[in-house]
Amino acid sequence: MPIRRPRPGDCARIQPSEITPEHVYLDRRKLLKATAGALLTALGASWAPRSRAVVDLRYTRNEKYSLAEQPNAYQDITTYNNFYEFGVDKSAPHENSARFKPQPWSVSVLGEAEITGRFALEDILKPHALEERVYRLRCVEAWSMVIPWIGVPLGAVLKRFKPTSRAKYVAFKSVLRPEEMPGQRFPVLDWPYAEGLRIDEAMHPLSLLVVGLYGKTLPNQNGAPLRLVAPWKYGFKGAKSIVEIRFTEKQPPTSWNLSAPHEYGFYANVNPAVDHPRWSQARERRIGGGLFASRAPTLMFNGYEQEVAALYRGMDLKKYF
Amino acid sequence: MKRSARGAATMTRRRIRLIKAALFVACLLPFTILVLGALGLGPSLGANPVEKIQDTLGQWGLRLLVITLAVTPLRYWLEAPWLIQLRRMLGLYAFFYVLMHFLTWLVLDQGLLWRAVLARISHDSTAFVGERWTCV
Repeated sequence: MPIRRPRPGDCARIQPSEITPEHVYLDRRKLLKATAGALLTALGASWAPRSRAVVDLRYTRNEKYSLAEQPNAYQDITTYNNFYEFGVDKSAPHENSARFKPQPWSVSVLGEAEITGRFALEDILKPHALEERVYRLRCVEAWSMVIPWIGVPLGAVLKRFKPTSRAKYVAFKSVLRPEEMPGQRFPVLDWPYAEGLRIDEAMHPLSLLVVGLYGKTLPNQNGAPLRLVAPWKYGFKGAKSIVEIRFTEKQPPTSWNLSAPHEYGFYANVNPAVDHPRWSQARERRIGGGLFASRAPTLMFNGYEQEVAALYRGMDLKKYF
Repeated sequence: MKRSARGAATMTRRRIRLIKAALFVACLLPFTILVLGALGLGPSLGANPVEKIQDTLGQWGLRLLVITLAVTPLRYWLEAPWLIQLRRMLGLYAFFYVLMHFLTWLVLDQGLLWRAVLARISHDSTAFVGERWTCV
């Protein structure tokens, strides 16, 4: 292959389009300044501590489903939780979620329903009034919090898609974005995260589709922009950053159950009488109690026994844990 | 040949004493930071201080145990026999951290509720391995 060295006269090959227009050339200092400015701004934007743009929500409080207890501090709720998509430490969701973009957002509704398709989150929420509910949250790791969620009843939303008689379960799928969620770059779980409820559990008035916390939109680390909360179940049942809702006839596979079936069942109801194979579930540590607070006894169905016990009448809860 | 190499690695008594003092302080640092945090004078212990203290103490106990066990092979590989003089202190520190880890669990976490403690221990053996270490 001949190698051609540059020769005098080559400059004549310059295309007219390559020549800098005179006015730009004369203003080259301004151009440089503008470029530098834009670069700095871009750098600043990427290093800006957090795009923690939570905004105020309009809601009314649902007293019937709100505990009288003092909720945990916003600081504790937003810096101590599990969201393995951002890392396995409980500080990881707060530390690693700044790059996550919860907007725009859409959710696919699929399976055994008359109305299916992909819907913008705003369209899904539009017909519903937001309500605040102060719920207990009990983690399977034996710690607990009291959290003022903002959301809409899951059942009311699901009904609008007209599930058919074959819809026996509802499966939820979380978003898969390893580029924004560093925890997904490791095969800790089989990503994307999957969860599910029996249809009667999903239709239960306590099941909440959550969009906010403490009167504001959900911060990234708590499952923005849309998550599930079923307060009588262990926290991991509450799928975060939901992108898919599927009505199914068969019990859907769920992430933790797939990962360790002898430790995490499909139901995962809070039950002080059924221990985790590696620790007791009889008592829990309430976050915010400080150094010398003792563990509190865990309540059956996390204190929602009156409301939900009927769902499981006749079931062996040691078998269906 | 061998003798001179070892001679170079020999430490004066004064130097050993200095190194031991520095090691003593270094090993005490994680504990000091926890105590300061608990008193509100150091870095915050976060939302679940009991867990933080228990985990930190347990992790340092394990680290120091590994370091202690590494002293013997290291002194041969590095031909630095003086290292052996640090082993007892490292071993005692490993024991100290593990003991404090256990006491944190017993007193702060379980609140000396013996029924729960005995149930936990008789239930299976993972209490001794540590719940978090067997966790995913």
